[in-house]
Amino acid sequence: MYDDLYEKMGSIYEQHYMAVYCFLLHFTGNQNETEDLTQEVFTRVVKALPTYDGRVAVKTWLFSIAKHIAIDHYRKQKLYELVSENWLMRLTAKQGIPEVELDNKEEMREIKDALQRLKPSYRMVVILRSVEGYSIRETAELLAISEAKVKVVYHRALKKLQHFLKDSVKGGIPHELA
Amino acid sequence: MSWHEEELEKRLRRLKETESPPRLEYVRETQRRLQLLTNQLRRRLYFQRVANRVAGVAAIVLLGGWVSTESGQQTLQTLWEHTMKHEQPSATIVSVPTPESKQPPPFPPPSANTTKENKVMNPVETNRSETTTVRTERKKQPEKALPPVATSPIKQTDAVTDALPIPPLVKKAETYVLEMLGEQGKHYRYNPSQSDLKRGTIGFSRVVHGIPFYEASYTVKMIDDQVSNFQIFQDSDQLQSLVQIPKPTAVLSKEKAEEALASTLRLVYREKGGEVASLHYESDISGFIDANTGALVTGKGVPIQRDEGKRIIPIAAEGRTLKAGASEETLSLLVREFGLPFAVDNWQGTTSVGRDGVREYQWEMKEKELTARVHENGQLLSYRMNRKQEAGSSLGKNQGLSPEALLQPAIEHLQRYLDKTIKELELTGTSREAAEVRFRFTKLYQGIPVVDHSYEVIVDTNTGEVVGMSGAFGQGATSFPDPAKAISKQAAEATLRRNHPLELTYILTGKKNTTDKQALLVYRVYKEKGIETSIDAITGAVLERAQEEP
Repeated sequence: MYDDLYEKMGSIYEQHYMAVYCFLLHFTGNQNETEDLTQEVFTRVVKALPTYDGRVAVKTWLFSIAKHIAIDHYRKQKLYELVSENWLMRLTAKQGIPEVELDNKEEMREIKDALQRLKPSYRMVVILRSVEGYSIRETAELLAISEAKVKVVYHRALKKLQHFLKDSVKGGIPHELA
Repeated sequence: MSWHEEELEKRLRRLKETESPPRLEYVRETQRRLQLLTNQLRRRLYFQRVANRVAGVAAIVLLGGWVSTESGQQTLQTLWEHTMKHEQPSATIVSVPTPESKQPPPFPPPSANTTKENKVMNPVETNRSETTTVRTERKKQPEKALPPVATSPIKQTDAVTDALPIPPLVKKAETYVLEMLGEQGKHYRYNPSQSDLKRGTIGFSRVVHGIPFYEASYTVKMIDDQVSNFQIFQDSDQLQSLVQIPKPTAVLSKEKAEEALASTLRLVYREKGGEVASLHYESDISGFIDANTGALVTGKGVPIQRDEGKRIIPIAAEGRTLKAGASEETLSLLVREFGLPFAVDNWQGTTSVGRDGVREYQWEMKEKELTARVHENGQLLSYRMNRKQEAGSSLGKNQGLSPEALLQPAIEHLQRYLDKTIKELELTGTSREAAEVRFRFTKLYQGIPVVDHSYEVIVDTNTGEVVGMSGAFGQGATSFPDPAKAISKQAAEATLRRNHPLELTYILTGKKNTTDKQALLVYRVYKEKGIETSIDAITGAVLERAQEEP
C-alpha cells in the first residue's frame, strides 16, 4: 500500500522542485534562505504525503505548503526589518560594470527591493503572475484564491510597487518597522 | 523615468532572468534527506499497519470468545436496552459552545412522538419500521456530530471567539471538516482570527485544553456555499509535541497581560516623507506575552529586550549642508568635508542615475572604493568607503575598542550635518560586523521619536574613523502636531484593549527542524487576519494598515 511512496515523492520532487524554489527565491530575495525553505517545504510534503487525498492538484497542494512556509518566514524576519532594509547593508560591489549594465542592474535591484517591501499576499501574486508567468487561473489555483481576487490583488500590488519605486529614490533609510 | 504599469510588468518579467539556480550540493542534500525521510515514513506506516491488523484480529477473537459465553450475551442485552433509553432523540450538529448553540438546531428535531417512542422503545418490542427510521436519521449524521471542545478552567477566549455567533457559512465549513477528519475534527475549532469570511476563507485551529494553536490549522475555502479548497497547515512533529502539553493550571491574568501590552505603547511621530508629521501611539514590539511570567517574547519564546542598547543622546547640531552635484564635485565635497584619502584630480569611477534623478557614484583607488548617493536637488544622501579586500585585512590596534568608545566620534561626526532643529537623537541599535561598528539613530522631536526619520553611522574599529553615513539629511517635516493635544496614554491603552483583546494561545519554542520543542502558553493580540494598527494620538482613532500584512 505504501510501497509507492518513494516513487511518488521522487516524482513530486523532480517535477516541482524548481517551481517551488523560484517562487521562494523571489519571495525571500535570498538564495541561502530559499534553499533552506525549499528543503523545509519538501520535508513537510513527505510527512503529509500519506494524508494527501488528491482532491487538489499536487502543485496546488505544494504551493499551499510553500505559501505557509513563506509567510512563516516573513513573520520571523519582521523583527529584523530595520536592519535588513538598511540601504548601506544592501550596497553591492559594482566594480568594472559598464554604465548601461550598471543602470540595468541597479534597476533590477530596486525592483527586487520594492518586491520585498510588498506584503506577502501581494508579493506572491506578483511573483506567480509577472515573474513566473502563470495565468490568472493558475495563480488563483496555486494560491487558493479566486480569479477575481488575483486580478484585484495584482492591480493593487503593481500600484504599490510603483509607489515604492517612486519612493526608493528619495534617500534615507526606509523604516517600516511597525 | 516614470514607472508605467506595462513597463513595470516588463521589468518584472525580466526578474526571471536573474534567478540563480540552487546549488547542486543543496539539491543533492535535499534529495538525500527526502529519501531518508520517505524510507522512515514507509517503515513506520508498514509497522503501524501490521500492528493495527494484529490488534484488530486479537480484538475480534477476544470479543467473539466473550460473546459466546452466557454472561457476555446477558451483558450485551442490558447494554443495548440502556443505550436505547439514554440515546439523544436526533443526531444534529452540535456546534462549539456559543450563544447561538442555544438556538434551534439546523436540522429539524424529531416529533415529540418519536422522542417518546425512543425513550420507551425496546428493540425487541418496537415496531420495526419506526425503529429503522430513527436509526436511519441517526446514521445520517453521526460523523458530523462535533463533540464540545475540551473545556479548560482558563476562560481565555470567552471575549473573542466563543462570544461570536457562528455564521451559516462557517457551520457548513465545520460540517465539511468533520466529514473530512472524522474523530480528529473535535480537536479543531473555528477561529475567526484565521478566517476571512468576506472571501469565503474559514480557518480552524487545533485546540489543546481549550486553547488554540495557530500553527496547526485547516482552512476551508468556500465559493457560493460550496467547498472549493481544503488546506492543511500542520507538522506531524508539532502535533506530537502538542499531545504532551500538560493542562495549564494557573496563568497570568488577562488584566496583567493587558498591562504588559500597554507598557509597549509609546507616542511616535511619522513623517511619511511629507511636510506635516502625524502623531501616533504605537506598540514597539512584535511578539507575544508569556502567560506565565508576563515577559515579552518572540515567536520562538525568546525574551525581547525592548530597550536594550537604546538611549537618548543630546546633540549640538551644526546644520552644515552637504550639497554636491556631478561626480567630480561630489568627490571633491567628500574629500574636503570628510578628509577621505582620494585624489580629486585623478579619479576613475562610474555613475549611475536612478529614477527621479538620484545619482550613485563610485570611485576606486588601490584597495579602497568609495560610493555616494546624491539627490537630484544636490543633497548628499549617503557615502560609504570600503576596503576591497576586507576579509584579508588584519585587525589593527583598535580592534579591542568597544562600540561605546566609538559612539562619541560617531555622534560628533553626524551632528555636524544635522538640521539645527534636531536637539536629540535616540540610539536605536548598535551592531558590530568584522572591523566595523554600525550605530543607528532616530530623530527625536520634543523627546518623541520620529520613527521614519533615521540615520546610520559606520565607524572603522581599526582606525576609529567614520567610513560611512546615511540618512534623511536635508529632509523632514516642518510641522509636528502638539503632543499636549494627544489623548492620554490611559485612553490609548483603553482603545488598545477595546480593539485588541488578548487571547491565550500556544507557541512552540526551540530551534527550527529540531525535535526539542516545548509548548509555551502566551497571550497574543486577537485581531483580524492581516491587520496592523496604530492609534492616532490626536483623534484617538484606530488606524488600520491592512495593506502590509499577509
